[in-house]
Amino acid sequence: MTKKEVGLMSTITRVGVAPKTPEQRAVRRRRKLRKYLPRYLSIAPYYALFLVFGLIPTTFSFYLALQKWDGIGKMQFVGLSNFAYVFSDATFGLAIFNTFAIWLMSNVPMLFIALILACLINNRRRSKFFYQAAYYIPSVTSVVAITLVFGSFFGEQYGLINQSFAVLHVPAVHWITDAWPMRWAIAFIYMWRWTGYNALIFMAGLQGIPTEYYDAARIDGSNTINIFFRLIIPLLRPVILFTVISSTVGGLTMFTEPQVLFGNNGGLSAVGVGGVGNAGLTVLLYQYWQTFAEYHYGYGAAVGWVVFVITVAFTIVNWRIIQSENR
Amino acid sequence: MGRLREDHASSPIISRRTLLKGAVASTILATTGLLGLTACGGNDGGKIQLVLWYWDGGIDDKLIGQVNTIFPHINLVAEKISSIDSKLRTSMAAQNGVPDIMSLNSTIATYFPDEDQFYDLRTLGADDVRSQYLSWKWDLGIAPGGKMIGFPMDTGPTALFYRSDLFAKAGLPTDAQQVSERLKTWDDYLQAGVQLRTATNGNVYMVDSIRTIYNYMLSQSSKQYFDKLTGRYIGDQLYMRQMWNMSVRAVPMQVTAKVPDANWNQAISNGLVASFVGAVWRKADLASGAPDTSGKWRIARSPGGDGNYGGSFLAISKYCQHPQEAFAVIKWLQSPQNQVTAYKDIQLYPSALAAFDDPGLHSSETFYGGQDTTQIFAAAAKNVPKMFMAPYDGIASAPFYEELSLVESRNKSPEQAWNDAQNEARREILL
Repeated sequence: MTKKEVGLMSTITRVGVAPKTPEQRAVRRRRKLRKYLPRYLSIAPYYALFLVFGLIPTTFSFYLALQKWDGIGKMQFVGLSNFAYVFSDATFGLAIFNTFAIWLMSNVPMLFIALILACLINNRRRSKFFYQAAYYIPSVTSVVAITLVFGSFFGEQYGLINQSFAVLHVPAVHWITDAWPMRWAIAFIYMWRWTGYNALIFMAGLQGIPTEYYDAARIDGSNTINIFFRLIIPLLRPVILFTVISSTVGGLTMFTEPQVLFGNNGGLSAVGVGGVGNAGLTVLLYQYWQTFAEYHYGYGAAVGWVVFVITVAFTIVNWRIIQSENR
Repeated sequence: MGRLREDHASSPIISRRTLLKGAVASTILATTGLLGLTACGGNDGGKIQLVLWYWDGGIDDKLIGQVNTIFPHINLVAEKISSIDSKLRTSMAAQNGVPDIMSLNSTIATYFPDEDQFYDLRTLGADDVRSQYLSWKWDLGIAPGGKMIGFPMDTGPTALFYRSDLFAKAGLPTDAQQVSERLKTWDDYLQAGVQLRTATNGNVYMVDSIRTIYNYMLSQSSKQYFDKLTGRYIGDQLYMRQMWNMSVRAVPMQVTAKVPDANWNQAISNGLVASFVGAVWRKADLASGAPDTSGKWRIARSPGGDGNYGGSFLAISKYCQHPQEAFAVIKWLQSPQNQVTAYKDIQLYPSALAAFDDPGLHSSETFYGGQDTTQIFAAAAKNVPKMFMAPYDGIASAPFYEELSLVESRNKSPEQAWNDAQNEARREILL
C-alpha cells in the first residue's frame, strides 16, 4: 500500500463513521484520548520535570522579586522597590561592567583563536581524533579544579607566572589584587576552558564546506588569508552565530571562576566575594552573594530578572550584528 | 515487508507499554523523592527517630555513632549537609523536611528574626546545665526576644600566633608570657612590627593583612554593629572608628604583608609573615597550609585582650515531635566529657568549663615547639567579653572589609574608605 492509498483509506473511514449524536462524539473523544494517551505520557516526564524545576520556580521568582523575604519568615510585599534598588546600586553597576569587560576580554580572542585552531586541525590529513579529544577535555573538567590550578599560577609573590616574570626581569603583576589583572586572570581561565570546545564546533561547520570551493578559490588565485576571510568566515556564519550566542550566555553567567579564584581561604568570612574592590564580581556572583550569603531572597530574584533581560537584549544585539553582515 | 510488520504488531507494543509505565513511575518517584525529603520525627520500629543535620567536621562522627547505643529507644539519623544554611532555610520555608536537630554556625544570629522556628531550649530544662558552660557563649545562643535557640557547641577563642625564630631575629621576646607582656596593646603590636621590619631589612612583616587586625580587634569588642536594646546600627560610632584607625595605621607603618586570602598559605610558608591573631581553629589552617614551618610557631595571649571568632550551636526545630529526647541527645553530645572527646578527635574547641582542665585537652604540641597551647586558649576563652551578635552583622560588616582591602592594596584614602563603608553598610541593611 502506498502512502497515498493509506491517506485515501483513512479519509474514507473518517467520512464513514462521522459522529452524529453527542454520545457518539463523546465516545470518539474518549477513543481519541486513549489513542494519544501513550504519546502524551511518553513526553510527560520532560514536562513534569520542566514544570517542577522550570516553570514553577521561574514564575515564583517573579512573585518573589516583589517581596522582601529572608527565606523563612513572612514575605513582605514591597512592590518594585527591589528593582529600584538594583538600578541604583553601584555594586550591581560594577558587576555589570565587570561581566561585560571580562566577556569581551575573553570571548573575542577566544572565538578567533578557536576558528584558527579549527582550520589547522581540519587541514590535517591524518587522524584528528587526538586533537579533538584533547581540545574537548577542558570544557568537561571541573571548573573548580581548573581554577585552583590557575590560582597557583596567578599567585602574588610565588605564583608560576610572576616567578617567570621575575626571571625575565618583568615586574610582577598583581593578579589577585589589581583590578584589571584580576579581570584578565578570569578571562584567561575562561579562554583556556572554552577555546577547544568552540574549535570543535567550528570544525563541524568546516566539514560542511565542500572542498570544491577551496579548489575553485585557489584556481581563482586566492591565497590562504583570502580564503579564510572571504570564504570560510562567510560560509561559517550560522556556526559563528551559534558560538557567539552560546558564549554570550555562558560569559554573562560566569560565576565559578571568580568565586573560587578570589574566594576566601579559611580566612575572614566577611571579605567581599568579588575580590579586592569587587573587581572580579560578576552579575551572577553578585546575585548569589545577595541571595545566599546575605539572605535577600526577594532582591536576589529581582537581580535575576534584570540579568535575564540584559542577557536577552545583548543576545538580540549580537544576533542582529551577525545577521546584518550577511546581507 | 511482512516480517517487519509482524514484529511491529505483536511484542513491541507490550514492551513499549512497559517502558512507558517505567518512565511514568520513575518520573513520579523522582518528583516525590525530591519533594518529600526526610520527614521530621516519627516512630520507627518502636524507636523514636530523630533527624540531625550537621556539616562535615561540625560534630564528632564517633560520638554520633554512639548515640543509638547510649539511648536505646532513639534512632538518630545523622546527615552531613553541605551549604547547610540555604538547605535549612529551604526546608523551613517549605515547612517540610526540617530536621529535628540542626547545627547552626557562628552566624546563628541570622536566625534570630525567625526564632519561632525553634524550641526554646529553656523550656526543655537547659537552665539546669547553664552553669557548666562559658556564660558569654551561652548568651550568644539567646535571641533578643529572650528565646534560647542554640545550645553551645565549640568556641573560637583568639590568641596571637607568632614565629619565635623571627621574633628572636628582631630582638623581640620569644617566651609566650613575655610576648603578651611586651605586646599588650595593638599599638605595642604595630610598634614591634616596625622593629621587626627594620631588623629583617623589610623582608618580614608583623601581620598578614589589616583585615586581620580589624577582624580580631572587633572579636574582642563587646559592641559590634548593632545596639542590643534598640537594634539600631552603631557601626559609625567612636569605638568602631578607633578600631578602624588602628587597623589602617598598619599601612603607613609598613607592618602588613598585604596578603590576599588566596595567597595566605604561600606567604605563611615562606616566612613573609611573622605573626597573626587568629581563632583557635586557625591551628588547623596553619598546620595544613604551612606544614614546613612546624616547630617555629608559638601561641601567646592576644594584644588588645581576649576575643572569640567562630563557634557553633545545636538547635531543635519547632516541628520536632520529641523535643525532650532531642534535647537529651544534645545534652549528651555536648557534655563536658564528650567535648573533650570531640577536641581530641576533630579539634572542636570546647565551651564547657570542666573541659578546659581535662588532661585530654592538654599536650605538648610539636608544631608549637612543644608548647601546650590549650593553656593560652583556655585562659582566653574564659575571658571573652559578652557581646551582642545581630542578625545583620554579616551584611553590615562586608563593606568594612571591602574598603579595608582597598586601603591596603590600592592605597585608597582611609577617610574616603570609612565614608564609603558607612554609606554602603547603611544602604545594605535597608534591603
